[in-house]
Amino acid sequence: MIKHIWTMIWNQRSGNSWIFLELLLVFGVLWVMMDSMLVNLCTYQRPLGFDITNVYMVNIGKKTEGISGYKPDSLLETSVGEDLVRLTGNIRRAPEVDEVCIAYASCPYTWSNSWTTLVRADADTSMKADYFQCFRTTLSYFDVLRVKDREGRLLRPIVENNIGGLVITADLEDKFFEGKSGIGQQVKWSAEETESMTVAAVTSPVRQNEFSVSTPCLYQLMRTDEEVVEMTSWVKAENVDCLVRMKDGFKAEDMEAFLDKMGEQLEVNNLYVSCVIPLEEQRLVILKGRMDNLKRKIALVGFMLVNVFFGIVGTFWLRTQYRRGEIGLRSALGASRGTLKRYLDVEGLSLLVFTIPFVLIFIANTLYFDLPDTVKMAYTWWRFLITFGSAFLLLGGMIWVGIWFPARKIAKMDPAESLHYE
Amino acid sequence: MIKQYLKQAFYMLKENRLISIISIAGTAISIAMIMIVVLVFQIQFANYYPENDRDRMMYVENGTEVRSSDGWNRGAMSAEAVKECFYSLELPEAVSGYALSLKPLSIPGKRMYKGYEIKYTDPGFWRVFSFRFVAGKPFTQADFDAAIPVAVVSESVARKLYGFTDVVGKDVIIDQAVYTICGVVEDASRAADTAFASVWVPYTTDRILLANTTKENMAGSFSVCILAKRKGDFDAIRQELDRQIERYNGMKKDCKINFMGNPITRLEVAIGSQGQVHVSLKDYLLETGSLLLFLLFVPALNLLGVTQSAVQKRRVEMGVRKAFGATCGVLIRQVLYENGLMTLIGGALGLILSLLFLPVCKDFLLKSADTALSGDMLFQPMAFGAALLFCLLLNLLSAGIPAARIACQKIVASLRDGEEFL
Repeated sequence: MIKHIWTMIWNQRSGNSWIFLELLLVFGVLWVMMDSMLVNLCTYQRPLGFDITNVYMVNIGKKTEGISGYKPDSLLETSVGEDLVRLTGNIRRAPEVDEVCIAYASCPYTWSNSWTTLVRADADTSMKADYFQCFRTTLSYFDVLRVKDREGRLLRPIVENNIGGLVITADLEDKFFEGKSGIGQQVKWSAEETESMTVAAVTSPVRQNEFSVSTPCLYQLMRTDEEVVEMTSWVKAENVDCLVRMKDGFKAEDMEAFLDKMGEQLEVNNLYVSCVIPLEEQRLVILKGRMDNLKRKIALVGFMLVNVFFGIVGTFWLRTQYRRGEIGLRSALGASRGTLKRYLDVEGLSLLVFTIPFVLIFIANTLYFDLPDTVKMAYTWWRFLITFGSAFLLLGGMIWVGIWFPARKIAKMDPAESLHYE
Repeated sequence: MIKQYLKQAFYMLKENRLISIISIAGTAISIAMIMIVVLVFQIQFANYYPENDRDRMMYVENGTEVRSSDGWNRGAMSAEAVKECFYSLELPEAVSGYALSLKPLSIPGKRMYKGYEIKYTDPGFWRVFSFRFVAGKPFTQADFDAAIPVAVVSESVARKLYGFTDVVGKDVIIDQAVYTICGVVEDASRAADTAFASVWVPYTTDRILLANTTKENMAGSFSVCILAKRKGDFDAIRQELDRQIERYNGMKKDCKINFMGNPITRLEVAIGSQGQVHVSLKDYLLETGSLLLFLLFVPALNLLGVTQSAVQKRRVEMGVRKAFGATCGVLIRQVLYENGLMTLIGGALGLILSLLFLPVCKDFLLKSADTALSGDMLFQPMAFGAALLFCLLLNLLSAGIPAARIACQKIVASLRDGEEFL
């Protein structure tokens, strides 16, 4: 039967060529879409290395002359850094608050970041130092963002039990110490530096957002309030990141009421809490571009599938009209309606099958030129099978649905009447 | 003659309903997708309230680079750079420097923490953009020079704060600073992103913003937009700006400022250029062009199959007409006219569909999800022109080849066999 159908397709090649071309074009583009969506989906699902549920970004403001309550520097007995420590202390004491931290260029889902060189303590000056993203944080940062180590244990107790001014991520540990534990190891800012620092702990791999891969990073710790005060002597208090984790069960809509209740406690000398933004909200702002891209791809896939559906319905509808005579003859010779429908199905799916060699050549070429994203996900057989298979099944499904309409028409045909056309 | 063709086309549409519906729906979806791409571009490019003169505007947004012996700083410029390089320009009609920040708004007696977009700007802003004032008037040069805390608020913010719009003379507290409202303007859409804000105040009133500078007071938080007197002035303005940059750099010891290829025109902004990233028109056309071609080709391949069958069905008719002296051109025109009716119906439906889809899908098509869409953004001559153009293209693509093939066949071949359809 299949050989017979293939001969028929070949004989009708001028009529089939357009729908064949369409299937070929759509199959190729659909595979590209499926591949990029699979990579995005798998990357999205991987753990981030931190948890932002119920975490809020607190923007700190500083009063200037002319604003009510402003105190000139000459009247102040404390430094801005000390005021900042007191302000965060006030927030921490509220019963609704779980933990507060102070950090610099460390808040996830913001554009602000800072980079530094780092080398192993035994590196000599001939080695070129790499740049790594650096987070400057208090120890409570690990509690606020629930950062864990490779084994899934909360990081803060580990950092508190060990000595050392740095915490590194798993990727940096792999890069520097190749399989050995990084805890207790010595590193320094650059090869020329004489002073080295101890690594206090190693976190699980950390990614900046759902669409990126984990990169080697390090945390420069501020263990004491004095270190926070020291930092605010060169970073303006308004530019410091202050993150708050609220207790479980606290809802974002209660924030305004909570801040209202805190009242005076949100001000210490010239520093005050200016506004509070849920990190979940900030996350959507940062991810919007990538999310939009994904949605546009889905819309394009929908467009292609609808077109394939229309193309198949159109082509096969007209075909059944011309071939009424042949169909009548077949049914008169004993072919059941099921058989006739199967004929159409096989014909449609064969057209799709014929595109496979061309699509495979296309895929081989894209792989040869390394066009698919192999950084986020290695190109494996199962990746090929999933993307190719899903594109094939989607198109096959659309063809099957498209053929259902003309097939129903055949079912309604009376063999005697059909024969009349012969 | 055309009337005759259209009549014939209309009867053919009625004769085979399913095929007509599929062809029209296919065309409609294709045109709808294409029109959405066009409309999204149009929203970026067209003139509408309050950016009514976008075709005469130039932008320097985050496109400042200050180089010194110890490195460089890329981002925005200081208020001093705005003054020295841009206020000193003589060719433009108006120039405005602005900085955006997110700050909470309160009214006396009620502290609130929700952040709003506050634009810190100058009196030139009101000449560059044509805001409609519901009440009051913009702040003046005298207010700006004397750093008087006055603010213009949008209608919706006035309602949110006070419940009504007649709020001129009342106070609004931005973060902790008290401003007197001097004007209320009709809301601007977020799509007009340079003009958009909730509140506009003179930037001289915020000391922290003015003091937030680095690199010998050259880098800061400000962007600039320029309104040229005529479109042809762009190059002359760039040359004048170069002279001002040279003069300004001469005033500094170590640092040198440059604007990284800025100011750019609205067309450049609309194709995706921004500050430090420049997209060439060629790249944009290549990317968007291939998307549009894809959106055209897939349905065209669908329609080709259908048109080809429909035309071949009428081979005899064509043969007879040819035998009686009709030329190739006349026959091709006839097929194109007939097919054109279908494409136009599909195109009109597609245009309506795109206008319906756009508001539904705007959250992933436009930069900000809560962008307000208005009639003057969408109903532009450009949109209708593009819709018509793409309809004609689709018509040519889907009917041109079958028409040419059939019309140029030998009369004998056409007359020979009316039954041989495929």
